[in-house]
Amino acid sequence: MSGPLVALVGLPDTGKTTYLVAVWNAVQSPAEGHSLSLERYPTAAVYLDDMHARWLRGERVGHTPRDGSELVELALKFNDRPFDLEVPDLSGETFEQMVVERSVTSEVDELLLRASGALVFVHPDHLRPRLTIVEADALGATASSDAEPTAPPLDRRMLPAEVHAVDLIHAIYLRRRAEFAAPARIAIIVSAWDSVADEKLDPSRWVEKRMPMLHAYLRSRSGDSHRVFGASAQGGDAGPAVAEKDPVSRAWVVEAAGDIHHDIAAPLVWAAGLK
Amino acid sequence: METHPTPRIEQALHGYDHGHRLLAASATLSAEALRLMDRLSDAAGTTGHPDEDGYLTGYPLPDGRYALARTWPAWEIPRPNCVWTHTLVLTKEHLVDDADVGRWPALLRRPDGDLKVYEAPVADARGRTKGRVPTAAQVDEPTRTAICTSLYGSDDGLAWAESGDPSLRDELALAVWAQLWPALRRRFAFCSGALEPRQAGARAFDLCLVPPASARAFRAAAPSVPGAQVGENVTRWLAYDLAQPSPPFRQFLAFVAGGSTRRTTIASLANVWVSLTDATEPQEALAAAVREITKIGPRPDQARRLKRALFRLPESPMLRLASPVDVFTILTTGPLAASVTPSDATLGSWAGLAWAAAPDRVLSFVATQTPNETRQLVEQVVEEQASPPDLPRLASSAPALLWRVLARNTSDDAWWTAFAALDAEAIAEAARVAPQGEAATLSRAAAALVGDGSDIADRWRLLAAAVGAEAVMKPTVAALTKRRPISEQWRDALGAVDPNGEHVLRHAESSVELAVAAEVVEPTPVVLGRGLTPWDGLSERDVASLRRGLAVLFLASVASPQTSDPAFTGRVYGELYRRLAVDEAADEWAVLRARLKGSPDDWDRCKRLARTLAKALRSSGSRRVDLVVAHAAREDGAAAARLVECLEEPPPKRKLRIFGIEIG
Repeated sequence: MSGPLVALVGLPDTGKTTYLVAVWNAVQSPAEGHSLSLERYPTAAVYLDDMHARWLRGERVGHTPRDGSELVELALKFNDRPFDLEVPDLSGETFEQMVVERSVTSEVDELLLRASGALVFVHPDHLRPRLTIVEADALGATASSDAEPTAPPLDRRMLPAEVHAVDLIHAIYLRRRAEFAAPARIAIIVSAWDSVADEKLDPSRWVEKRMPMLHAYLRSRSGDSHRVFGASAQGGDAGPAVAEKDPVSRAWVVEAAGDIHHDIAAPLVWAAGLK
Repeated sequence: METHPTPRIEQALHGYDHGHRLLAASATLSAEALRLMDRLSDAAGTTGHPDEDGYLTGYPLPDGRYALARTWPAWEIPRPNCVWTHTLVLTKEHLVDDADVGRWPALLRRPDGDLKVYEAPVADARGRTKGRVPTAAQVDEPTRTAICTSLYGSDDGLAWAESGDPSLRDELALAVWAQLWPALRRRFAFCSGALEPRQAGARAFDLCLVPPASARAFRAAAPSVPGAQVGENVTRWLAYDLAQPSPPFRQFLAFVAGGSTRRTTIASLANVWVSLTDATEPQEALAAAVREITKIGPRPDQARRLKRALFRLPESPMLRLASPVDVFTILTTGPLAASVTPSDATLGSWAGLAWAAAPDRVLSFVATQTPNETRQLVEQVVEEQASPPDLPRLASSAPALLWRVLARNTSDDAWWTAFAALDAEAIAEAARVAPQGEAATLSRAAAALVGDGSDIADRWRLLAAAVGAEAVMKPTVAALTKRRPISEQWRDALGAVDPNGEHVLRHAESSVELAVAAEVVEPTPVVLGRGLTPWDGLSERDVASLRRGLAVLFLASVASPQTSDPAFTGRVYGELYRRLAVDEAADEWAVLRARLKGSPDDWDRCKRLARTLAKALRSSGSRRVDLVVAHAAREDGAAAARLVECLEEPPPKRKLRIFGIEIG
């Protein structure tokens, strides 16, 4: 295939595969406002079909095993223009290995170098916010004590999601720069947006408030192309209730400034450089 | 009951906790090993679901250990496709025994809530489980055959088979794993419930057993492995062995394959095995062995383990399949002589067996082979294993070897009895190559031949002629001291070899040996010219025991009257006179008859004796004469008186002869 490749990047349980399945659902049954449609049915769709069936039933999409990573190749149409899209669905553990062990396989490295863009997924449940020193002072938590503090050993997995996100984005940036590859478009996808919709913040503001480090990093890279999206690929909490929703309009996206629509593929389209 | 401690087995548990990860482990794993384990402990694909009982995965770890794991679906985790995987980290020691292959899977446990049990090594693993060699008896023959064909027809690449029964998939996977020898077993990657083709690092898995729902992924992604054709009889045997493990075959594989990590090795070795075991005639078995060795290891440094497995005694299958003589022949002069080293073939042992069965064949090899390491080895075996009855064949085929055998057994009388029994031809043949420097052996040989047989002295003469009188005389004289009176054949024999008694006299040390010497030497001028001096060591008793020897002493005394001890002279004369006076003394007279002075018609032998001595003493001084007379008188008074009488007789006139006419 010679079309764009968009990498789905994120630690485990951040919604990458669910998003991909939602896109698969959308391109098979495009509705008005959907930017992508299927040009022809792929020859190896078993992987997607199996998970699609779960998605339709409102079940959680299966965990993507490390050995089960798939390079999804789709023949699509964008504004009636056919093009091929490659989306490697890598396991979250692959990216966890990047941030925890600082290593990546050569196959993943090659994919990240080839990618035109990347969707970097973060999940609101993984924020794991820390107290700032000022906040700790205010609480009196930094008062001196005779007892020697015993810090637990650092578990890099348990760092806040924004730390992982910055780490991943910066690693991709440095790697591509080392190989003289053009900067990739980075779409930050805040998954399960339905769970934070009540905060009444658009995705950019939400990231600024909830993930200030990521926000600061993105601002520092103002010359690069990045956008923040909120996405609910499942359409709500997994269960029978979400299965009863119309699949065409079940998944939805929130643009950076707050516009909401059902074109779940929009971040993908942007990251692929089609728009 | 285990008599040796089991190296403890480390273990690890993987499961889903915001991602599939290591949840508990009893030992620290290297980063590389952990990465591999993290990946291969995760679900074996995304399409399909593991069965309730899970599936087995085995693969080598980068640090040289081996991971054996069972993976179960984690139904209790809300996210689909999550799994639990319990992994045993096995060391080399855990994978040596075929029975352990069946033992370890029983230790794999699905977590039941308490993860702490996975933080300690498995203790007393062998005590807790029953070892058994896994078999694939329940798996149908076509499946077993297909797996063997694809797996053993190439060194790399995936071999896979489809089965709907998870227990059969486990059974087949473990049976194949157990069929391998330890080195290959430690490198072998397999999965009994693969949903998609799997990789262990850069290598594809060797074996995947696949539920039917996942077979399509394998057909699409992993076409059948192209490889060398494995013979039908070989795959049939290997497939049979999966169902009915053959311990001898497995031992053969383990030994011969050794450190090989190539899958095709098993096909090659199974081919050898089948060739040998299918052979119905000994020659067929040998021909098969020759064919395989020539093909696989024509040089001595190639395929040495195979050669040892085929020929090394006592385990060699050739012992059952062929005669030791034929095996010996093939290894020494046949097609394998240049391909198999003597040590690899335990040629010495085969030579020993061949010697016991057909010694002439072994000696034929020794006789015709140019000296080399092999011949030396065989000769050494013959030296060690020959027995006295073998002497005749040694003499005719390998006389030099005969001497080496005798040299090892100089103190064993049975050998010398057998040597003495050799016929003249054999003695001659042996004598021809007798080792000149081996004094002890030659001495023993000479002594052995001193006997009473009809031609024994002739055989002694053959030996003496070949090795020289000096080498044989002392033991011969010593042996003859026990065989008195000395027979004429021995006198003749020694006389022929030592006409002037030089060697006899040099080696006669004791009185009795001097007596023997006196009995055997001929009264030649050289002997007599020495006078009585060489006989000074003779005791009176031994002098009295002499027969013809006494006559020789008398003649020696009269031949050199000035140098011979007068007392000795008198004693010899007196003793001899007395014998001639009282009996026939035939032996003595035979020596004296032609040499005594006096008329040949004169029947008074005593007189002739006395006259001879008197004539010899005429030029001696009176003191010497007096001594002779005095000692003669001690022996016999009449002898002394007769001597005095002869001394007082006027010397006979010389008669003049002119033209044959005596005048005067």
